[in-house]
Amino acid sequence: MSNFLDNFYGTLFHPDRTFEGLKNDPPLFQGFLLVIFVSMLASFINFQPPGGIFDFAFFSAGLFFSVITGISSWLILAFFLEIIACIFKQQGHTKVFLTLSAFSLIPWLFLAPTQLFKVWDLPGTLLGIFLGFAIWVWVIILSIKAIMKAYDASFGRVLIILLTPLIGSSITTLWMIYFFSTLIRILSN
Amino acid sequence: MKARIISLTLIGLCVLSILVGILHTFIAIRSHDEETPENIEQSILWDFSAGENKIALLSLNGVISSEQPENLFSDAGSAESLQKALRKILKDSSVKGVLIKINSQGGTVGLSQEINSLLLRIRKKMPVVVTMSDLAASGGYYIACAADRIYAQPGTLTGSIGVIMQSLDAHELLTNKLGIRANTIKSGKFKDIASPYRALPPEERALLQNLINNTYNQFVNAIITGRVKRNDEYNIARAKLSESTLRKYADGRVFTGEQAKKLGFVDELGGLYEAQQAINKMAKQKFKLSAKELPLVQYNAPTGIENLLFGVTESFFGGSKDVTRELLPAGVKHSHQLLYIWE
Repeated sequence: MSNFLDNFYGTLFHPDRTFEGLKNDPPLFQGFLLVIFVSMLASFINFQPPGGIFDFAFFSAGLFFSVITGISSWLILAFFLEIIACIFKQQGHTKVFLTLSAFSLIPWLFLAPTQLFKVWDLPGTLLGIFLGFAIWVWVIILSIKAIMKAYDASFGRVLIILLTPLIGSSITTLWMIYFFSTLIRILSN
Repeated sequence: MKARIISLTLIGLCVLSILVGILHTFIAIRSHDEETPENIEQSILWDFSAGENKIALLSLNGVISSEQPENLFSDAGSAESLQKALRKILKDSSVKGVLIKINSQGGTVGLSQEINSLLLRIRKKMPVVVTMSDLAASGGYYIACAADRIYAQPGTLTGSIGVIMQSLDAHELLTNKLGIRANTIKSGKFKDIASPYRALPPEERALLQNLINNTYNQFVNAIITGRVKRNDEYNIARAKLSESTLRKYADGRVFTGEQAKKLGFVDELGGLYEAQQAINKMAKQKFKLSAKELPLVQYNAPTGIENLLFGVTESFFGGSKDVTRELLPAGVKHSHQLLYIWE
């Protein structure tokens, strides 16, 4: 537990030094628990009191689904990066990346206090959006650091790895929206 | 040691905020369920935890029709969106009054009647005020007459109380000029009534006239229910419309706002500002509220980011307005339909 608390503090305030330590001795189980906890967070933030047994069943199912989705996304991202790493002959760091990427999710926990801002109407909501965005940026930076550390990659190479599929999928999505909206217009006339 | 204490404190704060959030949601729902007009002001939690009291601002623009809007991403101001918003208001206890801005020449009978009856239902729960923009004729007036008060500008065009149905008679063009003949196989003699492939016989004309008369009486009765027999205790000026005046002027003619005010078809001259003042007073009177002014919240129009998004998306894909269709008279566009519309 004490080791986890040190890693928790280090990830938030000294990420480079902590990630170096985590790389040498990756505590994968701690990372696994972190992913489960962060995945459950969204369900609790969007919590609606159950009106009956069915609502409670829905909430439990949603919670379970969130955990499964969270773990799957975590594993899929690691798998995806391993494939890319294979191309660059840098494979074999999956355990390190899984651990580092799980710890880079720690700032998501601060979404819980952020959601309380919504009770202060518009100014609170705007502040909440701003803080939510800041947390998102924080997680992205830590994730990039995690990839750089796990695969000994430069910042430029990480950007290429992350942005290439993003740009490709964005262009494909825009093309599909344009295609289907035109099709709908043609059919609705 | 210091790092561990900070970590534990941060984790504790996160867990605590989740619990506070859950508790807040429970309080919000509980106080919302218990809220009644009598205890709104007594509840300390209400303002903190649920949506604050407000006036819903709605708009109705263009032809009242169920046709799909031009914009794929937004149907703001359409009759359909107005209808949806009114249904939402019926369930939203934080709405204390409804203000509708109408700029419409009318439209289909069924949809006008549906919105009218929704407004009458809402009127039993809270005040409803209509402000007329450039035009609120025929179906636009049908909807307006369900309001507690109607405001119009002196130059607003309103009235046009009546029904219209149009069909094309193209048989001479098709048969004599183009040599096209239609083959019609039907189950009854009136199944192709008002067909464009032949002239309208007197028997069919009488049948359709009967329909028109019946729908016209529904229009007049709606105004009698909404305005002539109106009986409220709001301390806001209202014009008196007698049944005889209504029947005399309900011949399809159009009035200016000023003429309509003199005859009693609208209550006061003014625009959105005056209507907002009136709805505020009425809401405060109805619900015994002490708030200075209730906020006006747009209900069926995109605002802020939504507007920006829809605007950008629309301009990105380019408006595909069918200009030829825009030029057609409404009676042709909605051929064979009963319309409360000013052509």
